[in-house]
Amino acid sequence: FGRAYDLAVIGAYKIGTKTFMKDTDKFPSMLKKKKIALLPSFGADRRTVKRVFKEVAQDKESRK
Amino acid sequence: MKYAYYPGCSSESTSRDQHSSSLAVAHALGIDLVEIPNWSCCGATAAHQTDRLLAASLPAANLLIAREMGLEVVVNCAACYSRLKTANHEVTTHADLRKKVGKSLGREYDGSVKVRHLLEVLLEDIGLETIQDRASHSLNGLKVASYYGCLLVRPPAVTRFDDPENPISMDRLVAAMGGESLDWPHKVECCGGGLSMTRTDVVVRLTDSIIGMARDAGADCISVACPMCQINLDLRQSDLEKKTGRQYRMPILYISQLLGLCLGIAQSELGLDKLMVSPSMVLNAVVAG
Repeated sequence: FGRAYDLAVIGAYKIGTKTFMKDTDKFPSMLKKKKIALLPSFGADRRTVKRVFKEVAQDKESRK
Repeated sequence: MKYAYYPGCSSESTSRDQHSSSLAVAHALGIDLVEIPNWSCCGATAAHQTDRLLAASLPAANLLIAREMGLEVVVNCAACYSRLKTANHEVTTHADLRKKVGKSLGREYDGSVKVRHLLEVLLEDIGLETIQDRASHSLNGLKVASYYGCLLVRPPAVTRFDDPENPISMDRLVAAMGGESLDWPHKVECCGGGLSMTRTDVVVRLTDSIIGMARDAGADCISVACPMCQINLDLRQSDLEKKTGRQYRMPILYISQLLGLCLGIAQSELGLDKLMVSPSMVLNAVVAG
């Protein structure tokens, strides 16, 4: 998305570590206070971010 | 006074309150914050821990847009501030990296765009006298422990923010607003913000130490300027209570929220309803005049 999407990061972390129940008690209040965004932000210059990641991957490859 | 404003990703989630209170305070003080169009993530700790080129290129992409705007960059988030300043430092001190960053972005960036934290703008460009003149309310002797954390002050060679061991920027603002700024030893201790999800056990220990020290120093509340510190110290108090039985109920407010209260800005604009620990004690202390 070009900007951090907390919900996806948290979800991926929970799946990866199988800690599904950890901190779930925080979720309702954070959601209520809009401290967690349900939807990602689409305002970023995604093309540049994509280009950076591509160039960095190529740079890594060339260093191998 | 016009600046390019970099809100950072947390301004759309965990630190909406810092974002809204900072914009309100800036408006009240005549600071024109122009959001960097189509800004993207600075890479934060994740990029920093993954790849040096990535960690320099992502902030540089935003600094390039700011360069086109012809403005200095103002940042609210201490983590973004650290990453943007580090990118400037990296490209100015390492020619090979500068070349690679230029290639990754398709444009050269020389590290020349000045990056400042909003606190620096408030103190250096606006000044305490102006802030006092505009204030309609006082903190009325409220005891405030100013907590700076890691990212504003470290590494000092890069951030050059205040005194890295004993910063006083927030303390000066608190005193100017009629609060009692406490001299306490945990101003720049780490709260473990980056480990909040992964090592809650460590974070609970660190936050216990910081909040406990603030309480022992007599604090009514803690003021912060970093979204990671704020959410960590605010949100983890319930875990602390469960694990240690200690009930601090210590309000953790952004300095922009405290300042906003003194400038007479509405509580809703300052996002005070978004705090986990109720700031009612602070609200009761603030008086007109």
